Amino acid sequence: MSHLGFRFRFLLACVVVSGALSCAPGALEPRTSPSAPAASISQRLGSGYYLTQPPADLELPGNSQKQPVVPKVTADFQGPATSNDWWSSLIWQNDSNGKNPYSEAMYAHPLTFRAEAAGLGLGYPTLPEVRSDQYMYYHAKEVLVGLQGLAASATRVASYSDWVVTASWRDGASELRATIGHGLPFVYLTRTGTAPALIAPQHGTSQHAPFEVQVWHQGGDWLGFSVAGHEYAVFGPSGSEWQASGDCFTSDLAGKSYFSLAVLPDQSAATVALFRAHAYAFVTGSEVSWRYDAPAATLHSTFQVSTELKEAGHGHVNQALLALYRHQWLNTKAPLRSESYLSPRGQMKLLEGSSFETELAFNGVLPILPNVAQSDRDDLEFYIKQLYYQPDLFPKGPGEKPERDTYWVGKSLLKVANALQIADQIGYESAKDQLLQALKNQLEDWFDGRAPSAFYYDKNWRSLIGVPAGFFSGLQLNDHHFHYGYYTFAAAIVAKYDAAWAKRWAPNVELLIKDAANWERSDQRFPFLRYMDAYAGHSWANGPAQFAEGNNEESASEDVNFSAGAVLWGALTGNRAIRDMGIFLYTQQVSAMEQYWWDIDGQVFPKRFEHAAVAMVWGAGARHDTWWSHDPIFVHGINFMPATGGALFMGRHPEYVRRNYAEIVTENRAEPLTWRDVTWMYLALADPNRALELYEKDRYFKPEFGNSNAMTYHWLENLAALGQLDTSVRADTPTYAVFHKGKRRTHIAFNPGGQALEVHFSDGATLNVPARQTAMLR
Amino acid sequence: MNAQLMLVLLLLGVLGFASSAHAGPAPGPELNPFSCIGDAEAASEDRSIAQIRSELDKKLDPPFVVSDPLSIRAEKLCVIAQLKARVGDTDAIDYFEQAIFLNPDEPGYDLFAGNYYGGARGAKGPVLESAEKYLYRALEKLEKLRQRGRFRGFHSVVHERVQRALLTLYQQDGVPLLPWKAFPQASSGYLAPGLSLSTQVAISRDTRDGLGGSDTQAFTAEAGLFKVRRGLEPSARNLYDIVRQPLRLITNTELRLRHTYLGAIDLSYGTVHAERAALTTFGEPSMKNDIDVKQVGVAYERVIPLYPLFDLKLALGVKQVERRGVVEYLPNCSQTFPVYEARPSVSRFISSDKLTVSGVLTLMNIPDVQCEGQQKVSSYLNVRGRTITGLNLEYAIYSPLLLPALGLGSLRPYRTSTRGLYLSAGYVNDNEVFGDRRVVNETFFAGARLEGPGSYDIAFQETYYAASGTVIDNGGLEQHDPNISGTILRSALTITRRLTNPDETPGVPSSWGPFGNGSLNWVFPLSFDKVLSGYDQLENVRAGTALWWKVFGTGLGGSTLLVTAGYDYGYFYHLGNAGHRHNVGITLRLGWRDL
Repeated sequence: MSHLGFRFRFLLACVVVSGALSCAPGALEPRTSPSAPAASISQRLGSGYYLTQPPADLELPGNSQKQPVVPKVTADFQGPATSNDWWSSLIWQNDSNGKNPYSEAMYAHPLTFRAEAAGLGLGYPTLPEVRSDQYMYYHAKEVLVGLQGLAASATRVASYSDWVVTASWRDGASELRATIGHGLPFVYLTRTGTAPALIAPQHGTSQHAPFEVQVWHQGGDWLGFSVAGHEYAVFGPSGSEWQASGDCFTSDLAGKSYFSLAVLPDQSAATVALFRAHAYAFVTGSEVSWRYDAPAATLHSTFQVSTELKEAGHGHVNQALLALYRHQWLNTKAPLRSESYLSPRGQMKLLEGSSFETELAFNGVLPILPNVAQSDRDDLEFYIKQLYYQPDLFPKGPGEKPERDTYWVGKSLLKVANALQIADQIGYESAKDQLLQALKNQLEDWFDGRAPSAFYYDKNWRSLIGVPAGFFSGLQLNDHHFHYGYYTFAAAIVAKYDAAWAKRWAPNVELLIKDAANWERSDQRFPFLRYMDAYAGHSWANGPAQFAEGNNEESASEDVNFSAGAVLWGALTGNRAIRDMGIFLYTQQVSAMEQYWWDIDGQVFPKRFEHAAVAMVWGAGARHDTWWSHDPIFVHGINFMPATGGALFMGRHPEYVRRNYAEIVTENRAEPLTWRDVTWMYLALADPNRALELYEKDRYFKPEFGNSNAMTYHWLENLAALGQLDTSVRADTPTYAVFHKGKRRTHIAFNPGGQALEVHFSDGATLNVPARQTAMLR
Repeated sequence: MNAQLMLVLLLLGVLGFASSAHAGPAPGPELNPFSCIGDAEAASEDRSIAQIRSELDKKLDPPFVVSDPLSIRAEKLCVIAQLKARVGDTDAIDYFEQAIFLNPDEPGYDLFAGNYYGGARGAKGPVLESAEKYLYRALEKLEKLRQRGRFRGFHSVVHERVQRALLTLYQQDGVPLLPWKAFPQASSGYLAPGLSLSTQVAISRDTRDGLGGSDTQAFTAEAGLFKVRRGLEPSARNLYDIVRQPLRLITNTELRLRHTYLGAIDLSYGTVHAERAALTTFGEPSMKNDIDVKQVGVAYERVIPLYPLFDLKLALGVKQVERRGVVEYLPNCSQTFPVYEARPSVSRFISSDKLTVSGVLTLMNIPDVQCEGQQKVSSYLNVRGRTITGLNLEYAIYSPLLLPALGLGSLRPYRTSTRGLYLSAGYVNDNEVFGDRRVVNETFFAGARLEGPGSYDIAFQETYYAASGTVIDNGGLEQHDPNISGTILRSALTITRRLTNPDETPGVPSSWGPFGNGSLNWVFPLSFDKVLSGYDQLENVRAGTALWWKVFGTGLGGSTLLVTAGYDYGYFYHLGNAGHRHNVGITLRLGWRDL
């Protein structure tokens, strides 16, 4: 046999064997709904069910000993309990370090707090503890505020609103209530009973060197003192006196029930006068509202606190003083004062007033990038097959105890959703149909109220928990917004192709959205925007906020993914309330992420913290580390995923992308190989040609669990063709994107509606987009 | 950083904290030990060995920083150990030891060290005694953590995997007769002796059974002896009689005493009964008689770690065999003789690859035939003896391979993680004397086995059999006998589909009653025996299917039950319609040894 002949025969044999071994899956049939679960354990909703009785092996919201916990509230508390807030350790007794019925450290900014039996410890940390992997402005008690002799058995939540909470200490007939909140330089206190109010500046602490305490004003109804160089003032009712009593000060409040304490930017007379004027406007609630100006692609958010003037006259005004975070004051036209505070989020600027508005540009989301590059169809088809031919599209996750929990299944849902759209773009119909059906079947499986994949509604905490739970999504209600963001995004993609399916299952999809971010204050099944901290601009991942560093959030990009999914779902189902809530969340989160995770302006991270990015934001600071690994690729990469048409925001600042990527290479001491797809896709937002070059060097890798080779190749090729995101041009539909490559601009719009749509761009370009299609203009 | 400097740093790091590393939790954050596995996988998955080594070098420079608390140092050293194990560095265990020393309360690192000896290391078997030392120590630490109230959720996974590792380690031993090393094990079992009983039963009708696997060679030899006896070519009927599938029943029972200081000592008793299996006289193949064998034996087995050189497996045994029915013309003639056997193996890593050299030496000290009723013939006709020597080289490649994506209907290369690509080659010399004849069967083989691209294993082997027969001529000289000489080439392909992949259940599999499903393989063997020289009428092709099922007797102290059942169709195509054979066999093993 000649050499050529042998090779030919060998290749022929390979093809034959290949054909014999390769096996496209048979067409997937629509799922047959199983019989309904028993009414005693389930609730019907739309076409599906959710469980109302927990499965036996589900860890219910509980404490560190895994004993169930119920919300720690007062008898007069009203409304649904919540969790995953900056103050959650008040309402959720986790007992992480032994019994603690009061609270862990709470980082409201600029003040920090920790409740105890005698009252509320507070501080204003301005000296960060900086390590190579984190910076923290740890809470240190500088002042204790309470009632004389107070020894409460617990601190309970009396009420809460969007970023303000009122805590209660009850001791016999006495009760102290303190209202604290983000951006509030004041603590507003009321008492029941006659126990004198108590102010105790702290001279010492076991954790720090002794504080220097100086009293710089005493006499009359207000008291001024400094602790560790921080200025405090206490304001009592007119006619009251603050009496020194050892190291403390007490006051009978002239028989009244209120007083307030403020941390001052300085002790100048003008500052004292300013604060004194506002000291009696007690904040009673806080509320955020938003409005999306579609023609201008601008999200307007209004942050409003309600106040009750406790005492009129004397120049007192019924208006609050608010300190704005950096992402807020950068985007407001409200007149800000020159005074400011320091916080882990950078400078907080003072506003005299009870409300302000921010304006944030919305650069749009897409279901997926269009296939502009017209990439090699064979390549894409091959990569689609890698998914399409898999016997199990929704496998168990990795780790020591793999599960098909809502996180790992969620990631697979999005992976399939991306792949099916690419299959659709290249006309690979059988794959598209199969993957679409697989998505529907998988989602319906979760919505049928039957094991092994179902949702359970916990009425104590008003939360929907996926079963099986993952990453303590049951025990601590962690991460629902991450998990359900994947479900929401995937459901939106199903809606893109099958409006009837979306209509049928909308109540079930929207229940997930409501669990993470309930947009209807009247719907008492869930708290309003549970995970999102509207004032902070981002969500909190941990339910009890059980840490000395407060609460935390690691993967802010997955937070944004939830929001992008909500925008798409709302747009595709014609639910403007959900769409606009998604835009609100998205714009807030993007602006917060750019500042607090990425510090794009170099104004937030403290000196000596030499990193371009952090993986986690904490109440007390931030950490250049992840929950599971110190690997720098994970530390950076956890905020790069998932890459979807909703993740284009990461490319808003290409120079920063280069800087961030360069730090990965420096810290890794080489181009990344771990999560190479994730990091290349991020790099491609600034330098797509370099990313493509790295990719072409070695295509033979296994992508990150929630990603696919199809998506990686599609993303890199198309960004190489499109260039960088152009944020200077906006469109009058939320589902758009604009790119520029040199001077060549590409306008892209997706029409989520059932009728053709004419989209207008701010640079004058116009696109006619057929129903449910993406169109572009180059 | 050079290795010496690194070791100095390590030593300094350890000494600096020596006083605090002896008791209680290591200072620093409490870490899930599986982060070590995750970090190591992240640094090795989808990498070439050179890339993994590059990651390893980075992690060694330095292994940790001064500000790292002990728990973090331990985790980092564990990652280094895992990567070193992956690339075949012989000092991997030193890094596991350092991790254990720095975080002495954490049982996870002992589990990983135990898995290293129980999995990566070893020669034709795990370094069992070293592995169990770490695994029992992990159990001891887990028990202490429970007592101290510091048993975390991930410790239940550690516990489950320790139990699984011990199940696998003792899987061949059989049913434990003493409680101390029985599943579920407790830390107190470490120094206790283990006594277990294994039993194997095989029933079959197969042309290849009892013939060294080469039916073509054996039947061809018998056809040659027919020509010697009869002086003419065997007829189709004669060949039909030669190609036989006797009903064969094999049993083997072994009592194993195991102790961590001793290794394993086996006492065995086995029988073989094969109906009408032997040709009573080669000149008349239709005349057949039963074969019966009984044997008792004692054996010793242990894998000894001799790194940095290699791991050495010692396997020595002696048996006393009594057999009846194998002497031509004397179907009732009983022979009793000793068999001495040595099967040493050595193995060592060559980078991430592993070379294993195995030898076999079997001396069958068969006495001259002395049976009642035998014909008075020259004494040399009664001479018997057999010596088998062999050498096998296996080179295992564990790095990911660029393989064509056949499963996707494409020849595009795709980096595929495998359970190993095994290249093997070997030689066996089987020298048997029976009377005036001697046959030296030489077997040369070379093959490749790829395990684990997806759910498939694929093995391919070429085997060259060369039989060289001699006869003692009238002058007492040994002359070549072409009738019992020839060469055969067997080409064999075996595809295995893993229906239950044991890797998917790293812990103890869920149980049905006293059993937990370990693995289930569906096997498709295919072979073709081609005669290259000599008598070619017994060439054949063969294809079949079999199921191999491994079950852990979690309710039986952990003994493994192995069931294999198969069917093969063989076709001796020169025989026409008389050449069809349907071979069946089933084997039950409770514990197991080589049958």
